[in-house]
Amino acid sequence: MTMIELRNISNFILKNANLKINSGELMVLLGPNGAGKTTLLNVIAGLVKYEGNVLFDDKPVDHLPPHLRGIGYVPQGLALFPHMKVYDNVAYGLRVRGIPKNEVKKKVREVMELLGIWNLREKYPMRLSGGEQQKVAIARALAINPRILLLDEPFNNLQLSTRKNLRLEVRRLQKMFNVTTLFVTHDIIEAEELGDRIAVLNNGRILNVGTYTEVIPTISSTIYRLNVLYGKIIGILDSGLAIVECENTKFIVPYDAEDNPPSEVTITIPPDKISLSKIKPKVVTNTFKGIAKEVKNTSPVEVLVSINGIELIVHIDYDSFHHLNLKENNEVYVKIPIRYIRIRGAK
Amino acid sequence: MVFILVWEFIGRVNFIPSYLFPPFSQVMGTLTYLILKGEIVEAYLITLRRVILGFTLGSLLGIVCGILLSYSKTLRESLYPFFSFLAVIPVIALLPLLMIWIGLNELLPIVTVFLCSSIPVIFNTLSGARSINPELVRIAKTLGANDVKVIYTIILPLSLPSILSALKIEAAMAWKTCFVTEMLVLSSGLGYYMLLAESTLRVDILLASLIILSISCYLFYLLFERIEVIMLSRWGYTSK
Repeated sequence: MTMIELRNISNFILKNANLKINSGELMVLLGPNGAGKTTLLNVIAGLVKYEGNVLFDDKPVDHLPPHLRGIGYVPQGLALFPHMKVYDNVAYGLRVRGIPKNEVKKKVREVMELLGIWNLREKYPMRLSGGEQQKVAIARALAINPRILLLDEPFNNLQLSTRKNLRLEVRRLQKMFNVTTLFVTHDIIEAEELGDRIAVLNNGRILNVGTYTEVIPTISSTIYRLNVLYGKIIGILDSGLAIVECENTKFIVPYDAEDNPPSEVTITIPPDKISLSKIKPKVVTNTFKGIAKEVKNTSPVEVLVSINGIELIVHIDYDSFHHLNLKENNEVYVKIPIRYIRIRGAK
Repeated sequence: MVFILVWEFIGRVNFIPSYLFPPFSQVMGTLTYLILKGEIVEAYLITLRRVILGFTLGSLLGIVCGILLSYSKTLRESLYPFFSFLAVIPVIALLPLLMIWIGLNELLPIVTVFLCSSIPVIFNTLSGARSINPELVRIAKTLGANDVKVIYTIILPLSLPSILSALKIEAAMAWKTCFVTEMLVLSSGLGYYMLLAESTLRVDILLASLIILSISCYLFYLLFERIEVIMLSRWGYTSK
């Protein structure tokens, strides 16, 4: 287990970034695209130039080249070596370190079996599914017994169900290997589910570090324009759901029943998970009629929708927007999938 | 097949005198005779040795230079203009200069083949290496590979498709360059053998020699193409 400390890190993107990650902690680095998340990982790995200091267990490692820092790195594109079989990919780090062949075989098998990918050992990466490729990349990073594990948005472009399974897998392996981990994402749900703590990064600056509840005001006010609504629970349904009323509008939200449910709650809705339609959807749960108050031609297109006085920000991609032909003051149906709504006790 | 039949027909109808355009069967007969007699085999082996030596050395230097240029920005910036300058000069145009510097000896055809092979291989290797996803190199480094290991295990194998496509084309070019050098300035090898045949108006020998040249070029091309197909198929780039 290794403690990581970044002191006054600056370079072409980062601006005086300070961060401390405790031994064995899984910290999520959350921020929008272009915030400097990957650059921060590259600083820790020693792959880019920077000013300031990186310390592992209070010892500066700025002078160490990447191959001597003991980093297990899973980059965004996974970067599996296409000319090597899965076994050789996982064994790569051990082989280049000159580990004897029998030890390599033992370690590779152990890690691959833990991830359930031993059966893929003779395949080439191009022949694997997205989820399998993720596991191979994680196995390759873990095989070298890294001091630190860096994961850079590893679950991008995967189906929702695969992402959820892999999140659980990462959590399990992180605890099993007890390795200090920095997980980069721009997905707030991923951040909430995975992180012991969350560091919020925007425009090269670390804005806040803390638990999900502690950082959510920073996130919603600065980087995501996350829809944060305040209301009260007015009913609890059997199937793990609750009815929350916010300003005369009732939302069905996922809810684990507690003995003393809080009367006042905060619900958060990611803007990119809300869908808009001019035709009334067949599913009526969490579907509301609203008015498009403001349409911003950004990428993604940002629409401000008003529902009974509640204002929600909705992000839709340009193709959907074009198809929708939405203008300001148009009536529109707003559908919010239950699974993306998060509920917390009162602020 | 149609081509051979037309050739045979034109040769047989005496529309053109047969000593100027012998039929295919006569050319094949001459070729068989020359092979059995051993004359053409001797000339062929001399050319083959020159091509293999020049091509192997040229390709190796091309690969090494290409990889080094891709890895070092300083080297690339200082040597790239020089190689670009060399690339636009036809090797045959350098022949008079090489004759003065090297002399009319065994080294001359090897050097011409060497020059003709190395420059295109440098460029293709460089382009192949530079098209490699830089993330692969970064990952290899974080996993513990030093620069030499990164080159040996990542850059070189992943540049192979580009290198092989250069080798495929340059192998044929090596034969042609050696052939022309032998015809122009040397007194041995298949090129020279053709020159002798031309002086005695033996069109059948000329055509037989051209068939050998053509088959040799094609076999070299096939060899590298086969290696390329096997390798890419193994990596899953093409369907088996």
